[in-house]
Amino acid sequence: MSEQLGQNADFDNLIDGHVMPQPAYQGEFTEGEIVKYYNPSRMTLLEKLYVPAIIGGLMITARVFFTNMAKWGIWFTYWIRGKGKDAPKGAVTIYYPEETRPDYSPINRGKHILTMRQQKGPSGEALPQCVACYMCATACPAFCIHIVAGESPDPNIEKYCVEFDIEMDKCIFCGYCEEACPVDAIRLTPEPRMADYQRERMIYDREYLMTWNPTYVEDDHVYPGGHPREE
Amino acid sequence: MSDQVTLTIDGKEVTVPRGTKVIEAAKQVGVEIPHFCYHPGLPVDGNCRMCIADVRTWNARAEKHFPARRPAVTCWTDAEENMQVFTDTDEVKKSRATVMEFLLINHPIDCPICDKAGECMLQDHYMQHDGKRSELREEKIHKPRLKPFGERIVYNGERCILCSRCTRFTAHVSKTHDLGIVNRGDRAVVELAQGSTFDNAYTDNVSDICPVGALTKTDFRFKKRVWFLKHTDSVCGGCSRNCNTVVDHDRAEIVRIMPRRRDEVNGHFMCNEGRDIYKSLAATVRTSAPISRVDELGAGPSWDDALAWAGGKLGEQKKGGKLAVIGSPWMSNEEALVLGHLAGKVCKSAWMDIKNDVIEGYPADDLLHTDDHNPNRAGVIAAGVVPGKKDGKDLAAIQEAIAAGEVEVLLVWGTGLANHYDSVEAMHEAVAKVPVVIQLTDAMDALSEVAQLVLPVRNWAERDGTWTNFEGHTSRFRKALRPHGQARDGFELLSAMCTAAGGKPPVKTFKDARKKLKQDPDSDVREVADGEFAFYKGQSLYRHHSGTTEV
Repeated sequence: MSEQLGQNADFDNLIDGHVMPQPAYQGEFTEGEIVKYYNPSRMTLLEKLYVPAIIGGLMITARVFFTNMAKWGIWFTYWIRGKGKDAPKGAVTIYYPEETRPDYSPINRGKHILTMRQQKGPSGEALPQCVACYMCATACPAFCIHIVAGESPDPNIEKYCVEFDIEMDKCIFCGYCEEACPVDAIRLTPEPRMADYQRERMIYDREYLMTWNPTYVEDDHVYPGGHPREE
Repeated sequence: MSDQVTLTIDGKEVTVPRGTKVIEAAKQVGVEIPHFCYHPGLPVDGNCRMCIADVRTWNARAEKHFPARRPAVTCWTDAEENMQVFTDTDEVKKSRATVMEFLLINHPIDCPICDKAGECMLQDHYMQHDGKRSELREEKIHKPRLKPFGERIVYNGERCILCSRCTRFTAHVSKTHDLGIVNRGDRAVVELAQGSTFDNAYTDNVSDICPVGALTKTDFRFKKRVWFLKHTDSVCGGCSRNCNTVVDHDRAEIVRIMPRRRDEVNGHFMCNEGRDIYKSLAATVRTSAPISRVDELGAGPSWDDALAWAGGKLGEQKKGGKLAVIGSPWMSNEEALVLGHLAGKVCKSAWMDIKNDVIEGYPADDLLHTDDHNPNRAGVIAAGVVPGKKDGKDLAAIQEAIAAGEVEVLLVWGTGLANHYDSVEAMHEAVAKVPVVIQLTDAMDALSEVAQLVLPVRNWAERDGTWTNFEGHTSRFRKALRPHGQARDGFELLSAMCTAAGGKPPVKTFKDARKKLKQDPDSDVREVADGEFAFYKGQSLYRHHSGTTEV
């Protein structure tokens, strides 16, 4: 058996005893001894014509249009009875600042928050969970997080963020900061609305990030893997 | 017995002087043996057991290698003739992993808030040699955190791995015996000696040599994560020792200054005052463009106009004029060469000397500090900024000539001319007798208030150059920061002045200048400790600089 295995030309393709077929590359031909390549056509004749695909696309558009119009018909039956407000809407146009979609996903990545510790600081102020480790600022591909670290007013916590600014107009909502955070200090909420008229107001500071949607973490981290201080 | 021994390390043959430790011999053939407590600038201790390897000695009588009974500590083992060292066997790897496991038992793993994270040997060695999860299920031992050692160092006992580098430093290098390890086992901590305030000039070195974040500097505490820093080779100008340094900077700001190994100049260390020199740099008042007080040029002349005017005034002095040139021991050797040429050859003036820019500073000691607080007195004199042989005038004579109204053009480099007068007013009074005063300076001082033309040049952090220390060793500093405003490089500016004065610059490039000055080849040393960090690469976010502090 071992000899056979060694002599098998397809030995490299053996997986769990099965010989995996080597896909032959079509676009290969030889001119004399020289191997040459070309791009083989991967489209059928029907696809090459394009017309069936255009007709198919128009059919989808038409179907959506007539379905929406039929929905407005249903809405009309409500409206005529004076129940227009309760009626399901037809087309999905949303008049944005006045209306918002109710069906954002709970895992939509939107406006950031900084979580707070349940334990207050010495003078009763809310303390951020952030330990100013700069992991989010390091991971951020848009370089929009700016932190200034400092000595925490709470003697049990060594380091915390004195300033924590996010330039929301630069942010690309990739969620890497959330992933990188070792203490669950920064989170992206599903909240999508953050438009503003002034660029300066798109820089969110620590106080705003902590207070616009106040959230407390379950466990206060002294620091990762840490423990309360003992003297 | 010869003085050289030949041994084999991982199959590579190396010949080293007798008495060399195996770990140093391995470094020469590019084999990196991980270590914590070993430091080439300190006496060997051998307590961390991380540098163990399979060391087989040659038995001359039996004419064969005897297999080792147990792995040996390579930092303490002398290289012997015909020795065989294996650093890569399974047994050695397992031993290293075990050492790492024990070191990490009580380590708090608080890397996110530790200032050392990114340049920490424990992190690097964990990634390279251990990589396991901790098996410990018990509560970790608690020790004092945030314990101040003097004003500049904070000690965190929980992070400490008790390598004793800091205690050996205070015992054998600074010889102040400030630190010691007290208690035993898992209660052992580093303590300040009774009555010690730990305020000598070399305390910050214990933070540099600490392989973990146990000793951190208050100056750098929470300031910046090290992976954001860029590292530029530089030289400290605090005194004429010229300690080789690495300037760590982020954007336009110097964050800290670290020593760089240069055995014949400063060894591995530097003083606290040298580390703080960037603060004085930030505090200097500077001008971003030429300033003039002559009617032809107006208040804010362009560089072209200013240079043409200055060159014209200097060129007028060619035929028996009265030009005095006062150089500075803060010039680089290349600039001094061009200034000497400009004054002596182009303008044919013999009145040339250097002044004392900085007169106040810490006293000299027998470790690194010297009495001269200017970096390059020896180099500037060697490059030719000296009184001319025929009718030459030194600084005192130039001062007399100024007072007598003989000097028509005074060219001054740098600050601190007032140091040679009784007061600033006396200096102003004397200089008022000179019709044309041209100052090339990186900082504004009393002379800049009255000089007819002030031309901004770059300071040491913004330009390239070399300085020669009082022992004759030349060190090179490199550009770390962007120049302030329109400040120009001194070498280039002086060369342009040579041309504007109707002459020719002595050399075209830095390289030619160094060749002309016959500087020692070490002046361009960059790869001092290269190869040593190869095994960190890719492991740590910190990009280890080729010539950075030896760890």
